[in-house]
Amino acid sequence: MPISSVVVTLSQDGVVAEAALSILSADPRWTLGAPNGRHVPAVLDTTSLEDAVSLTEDALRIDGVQFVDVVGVDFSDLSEQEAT
Amino acid sequence: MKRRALLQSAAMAMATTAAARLAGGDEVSAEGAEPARRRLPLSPDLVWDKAPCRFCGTGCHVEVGVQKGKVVAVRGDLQAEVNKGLLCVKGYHVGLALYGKDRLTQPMLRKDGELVPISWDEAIDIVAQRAELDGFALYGSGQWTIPEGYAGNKLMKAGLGSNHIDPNARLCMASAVTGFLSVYGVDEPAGCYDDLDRCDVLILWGNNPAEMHPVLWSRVLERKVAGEDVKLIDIGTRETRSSGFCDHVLTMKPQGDLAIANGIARLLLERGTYDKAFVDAHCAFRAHGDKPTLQGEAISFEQFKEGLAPYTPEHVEELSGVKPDDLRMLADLFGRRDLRITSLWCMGMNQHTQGTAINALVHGIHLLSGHFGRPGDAPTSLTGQASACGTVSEVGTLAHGLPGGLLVENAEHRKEAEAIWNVPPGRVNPKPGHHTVEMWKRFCTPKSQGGDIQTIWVMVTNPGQTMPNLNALVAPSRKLDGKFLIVSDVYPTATTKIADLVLPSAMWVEKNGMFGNSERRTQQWFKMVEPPGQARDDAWQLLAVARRLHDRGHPGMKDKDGKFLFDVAGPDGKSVPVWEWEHYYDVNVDERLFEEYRKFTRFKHKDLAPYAEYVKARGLRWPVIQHEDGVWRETKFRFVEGEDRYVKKDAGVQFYHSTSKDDRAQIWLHPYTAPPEVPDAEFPFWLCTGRVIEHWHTGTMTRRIPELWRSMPNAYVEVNAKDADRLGVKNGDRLALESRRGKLELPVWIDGRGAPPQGTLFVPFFDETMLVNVLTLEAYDPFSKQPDYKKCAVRAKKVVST
Ligand code: SF4
Repeated sequence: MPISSVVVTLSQDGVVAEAALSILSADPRWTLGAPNGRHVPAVLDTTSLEDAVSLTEDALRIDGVQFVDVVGVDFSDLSEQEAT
Repeated sequence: MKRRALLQSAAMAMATTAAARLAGGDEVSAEGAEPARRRLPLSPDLVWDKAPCRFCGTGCHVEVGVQKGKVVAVRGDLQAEVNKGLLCVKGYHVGLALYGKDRLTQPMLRKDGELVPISWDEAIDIVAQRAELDGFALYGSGQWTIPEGYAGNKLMKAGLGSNHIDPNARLCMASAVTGFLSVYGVDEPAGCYDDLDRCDVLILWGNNPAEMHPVLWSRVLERKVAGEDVKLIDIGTRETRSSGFCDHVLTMKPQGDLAIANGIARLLLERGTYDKAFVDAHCAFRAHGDKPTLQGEAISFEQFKEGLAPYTPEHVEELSGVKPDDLRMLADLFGRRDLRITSLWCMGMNQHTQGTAINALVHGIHLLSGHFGRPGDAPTSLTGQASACGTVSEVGTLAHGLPGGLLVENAEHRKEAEAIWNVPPGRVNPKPGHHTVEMWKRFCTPKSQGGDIQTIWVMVTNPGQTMPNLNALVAPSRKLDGKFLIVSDVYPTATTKIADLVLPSAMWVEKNGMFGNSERRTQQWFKMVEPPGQARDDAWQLLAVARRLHDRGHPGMKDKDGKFLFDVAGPDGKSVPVWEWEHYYDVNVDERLFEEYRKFTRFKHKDLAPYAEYVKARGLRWPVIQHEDGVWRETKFRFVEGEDRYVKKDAGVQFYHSTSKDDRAQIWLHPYTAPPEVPDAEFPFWLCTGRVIEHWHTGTMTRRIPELWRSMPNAYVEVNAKDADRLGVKNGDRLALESRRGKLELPVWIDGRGAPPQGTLFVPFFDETMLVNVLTLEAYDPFSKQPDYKKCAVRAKKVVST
């Protein structure tokens, strides 16, 4: 159950940025912090790292989301990785 | 539940700090005081320490969280100037690279065709015995740490008196080195990543930083998003993920870069928009004479101009496919003094049979137009590997090199090296060893036919996947009597699978280490966790072999005073038996090796600070000079007065290693030449190979990280939609590619992640189940000896399942 710290950077267009923010707020998997300008801190608590990655990728497809930067991840609960 | 809530609130604190930093409200003080967030670890009982990311040459710093002897968390390091707390998808998963289930954990020897476990003692004995024989070579890496590379170089050159050591960086940045040497007389970029924050125009020359140096790319895009007027221009043979963000995308024919650079220079001269004052004060002109050399011969400005005369915009279009208006647009930009222009390149210009030439030409247009020496005005090469600059270029782990930029062919340089190593005069062999392609060619040739390399010890690299033309340069050796392949690595690879002896290595934070990134930044980290099983440090392996040779009576393993070549004294002055694994960490061997290596760095003004300075810092960019106040300070911009302490007062700009010995840089005339293999009726497609963001080079680490592997599980062939129509294939069908050297089947991805123009195919090289290098060409640049992986001719046919 990894916990990821991410920063979502919204577009400069206030209207689209606002719309993106409400899409993310409506998604229970995202816990959003207080925006600092266009940069919104967020936490993803997911069942796997794969889910965290696909959530960030999905977010990138939302109109008004410019970047999603992952700044940290705690995977202390993950068991040993499988070899391919 | 309580713990989870705590973890979540700590994670939010981290994200909030990063958001503040991105917004300009940085919590980290300029003095580097501990930021508030350091008191808020994700898990309360984690121990954090710093390390550079294991993967690419960007050199991001991560903080590594360790709990109960295991790496359990990573986060971007806010104190690191390179990445300012950010990481790319690979860096984000770097901790997991340690924990693939099939780590190599004990030495194995091939007996009756099978790899069977043996003891370390036996393994070291076998390597020492092979090293005593003629034809022993060490094939190293830009992912060796600096102390590992230094130990390998010293073992070969000061110990065995042999120069048969070369690294995989020969395949990735050798042309950048020869480009720098031919222009400035000394290698590595004059500028640094700060240029990316200051330029008005950024030109990508065959470069895809969105996938290869993603953190640097986001640094540039952040400026664009913030509304800064920064123009991005992409010049390449296919559109990539980077192209989508660019203002201009100029798709060129392979090798067209030579014509484009010459075309820009011609327009600057024709219009009189070159920077005459800068050129008169700081530049000279060069071209090859009858016998080409890296230094070339002096030519006049008039001869230079005459040589450029054929490169009219129309002729450049014929050679490169780039429209005359686009060429004029580039010349307009270079002709303006009010703009700051940074050029970036990596493999597109380096893996090129005219790699030295195109590197020199791009430096040349910057010099000619005076776009040099101000922050943001810089020609900058990026390296692929984490320590290609630090361990290869600087430590000199090349067949012709010595540490600190010295050369084996130069008698004075050999004397200096022998003095530092305290070995008898004549110990360093004046004859360069075999460069990479030649080394492997001779390993694949019977001894009776001139194949003078009998043993290769491979460390931290995977030539069974990365050498070009694998069917000629690797496979034959496996069928020849007397050829012995030793591989030190962390996971089974395409190379360990064909090795005679496999040695298990420690990786990344399982050992002490130092890397040197693309911007001359030397970085240090400490061991944080134990390696698995019997895996051991590569530096230990080298020292243990040296000691075994010493004990077997090899004269080269003693210095002039009869001491062991790698003698390490403890605090009491007594020698510590660091060749015994149980004593290896009794002292900091890395520090001892580094402090000795540091003595070499003053010769070419690549001065490094004492080891302790790197312990405190998130890397320092050389030359690092101790100022009058006792503080060691780095250099951001070389050759520029006020920035670089080696520039004389009032000189403004001084190229103090000038090949013409007059403090001038060389502007080269290099005519366009065609690639060695071009598509024809039989092999009608261009094939380009490269990397993807998810995987680190041959994927041996990243393919073991399930999240990365699942998001990019296998190689593919990227095909233009019209070509796909013509070939009758759709996504997921298989195409059989065939070159004059080999055959390979791959699944089709129409237009793929990039968009190849018609007639061009692209295949990534990360997948060991689909080795694209059976197709590639071994032709190489005459000076750098770097092969061209970016262009060869293939044919393609749909695979019809039966
Ligand atoms: S950009 Fe390179 S150094 Fe930075 S996190 Fe990604 S792989 Fe690591």
